Amino acid sequence: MEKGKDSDYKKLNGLTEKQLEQVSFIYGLMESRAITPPEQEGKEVISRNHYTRKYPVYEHHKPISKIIDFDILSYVEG
Amino acid sequence: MYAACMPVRGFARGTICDLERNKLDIVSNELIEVIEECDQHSLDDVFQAYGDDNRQVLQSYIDWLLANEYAFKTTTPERFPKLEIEYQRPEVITNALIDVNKHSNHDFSSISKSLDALGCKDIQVRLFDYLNITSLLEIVSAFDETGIKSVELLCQYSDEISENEIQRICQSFPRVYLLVVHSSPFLKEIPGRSDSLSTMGNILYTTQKIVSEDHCGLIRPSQFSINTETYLESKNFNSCLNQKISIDVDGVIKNCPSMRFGYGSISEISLEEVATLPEFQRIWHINKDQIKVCRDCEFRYICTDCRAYAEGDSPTGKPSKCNYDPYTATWS
Repeated sequence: MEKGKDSDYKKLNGLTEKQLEQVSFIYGLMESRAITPPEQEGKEVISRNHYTRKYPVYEHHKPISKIIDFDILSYVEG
Repeated sequence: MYAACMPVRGFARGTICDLERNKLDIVSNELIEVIEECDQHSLDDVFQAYGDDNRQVLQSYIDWLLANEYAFKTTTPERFPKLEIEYQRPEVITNALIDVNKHSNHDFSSISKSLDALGCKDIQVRLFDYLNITSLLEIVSAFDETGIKSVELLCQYSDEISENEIQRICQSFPRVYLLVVHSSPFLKEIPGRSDSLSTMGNILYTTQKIVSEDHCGLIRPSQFSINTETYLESKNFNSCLNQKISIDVDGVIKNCPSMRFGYGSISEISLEEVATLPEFQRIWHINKDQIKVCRDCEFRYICTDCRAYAEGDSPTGKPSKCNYDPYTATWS
């Protein structure tokens, strides 16, 4: 089996024509988002490239209750 | 637009919520309109439609979107589908609120087991009266060896509990995300321990006096959550009460401790039984697009909600503790 031949590649991976299109689509998506943005206002900006992006610190995605008039993440992230 | 960058139109102005970078920009509704046009048509067509008189302004809008990495140019827009806005969680309950005062008699061990069975991940325990260190440790330790991811504890300040003892709670129980000591004579923040993914064990001494559930329901910009989960949840469900269960100081199971209606005492009916009741889940479906005033607000998908304190005592009234007017774009 010669490496790089489309037909063999498909056979090897058991991918249908449609699935292969989807794979190309995903790679296209990643490629277009692989932008490392410049530093903005001295703060590192999260890259839109999913392979290199930095995840924010753990937090509840929303406050459980709204009883504390204070932004805890202001110093956690700062 | 990048799939994670959401333009939101408000009455007086709009916002772009960057769910990936957790940031927000306030923009004009005119810019939102340009984004919508660019979504449907090629740039050349949009420039043509706006005419030569508007070319300079339109170009400045496009440049700004590109410079801030909200948008990108492509000749194959079909390859960039929109973010799926459906919101589903495998858990029945994701977050819980337990209120305690000196008269409460909650069995935290049993509550913890029930919440774990429901898949609950985040818990807040609010102690309105002073409890000694042994009681605090008993409460927090009840959530050990469960699937519960984080515990927030609010307790009343006392000279009898030293700062070292408070820190020891966070150190001994890694699930403690935040420990708030309210009614404190001073304000102090002690950041928790951090690793690459989490920051747990944060301590906050606040002079705010939190003596009952009536203090809840504050809507402030500091509580905005600009992230995918909040955005999607707010689009589909109530941004406060969805998949939440509460136990008030008397042990009554409710959607929220501040609400009048309860589903029975925890000594008589289990959390599991209440959580699956259709009438209990009904309020989860009141989203921001149904709430008066909020539906015209540019912050509606990143903001929290409050159904307990709502204007006009209506199920879809504006949260009464929100002092933002989207019609004039002012905080009062």
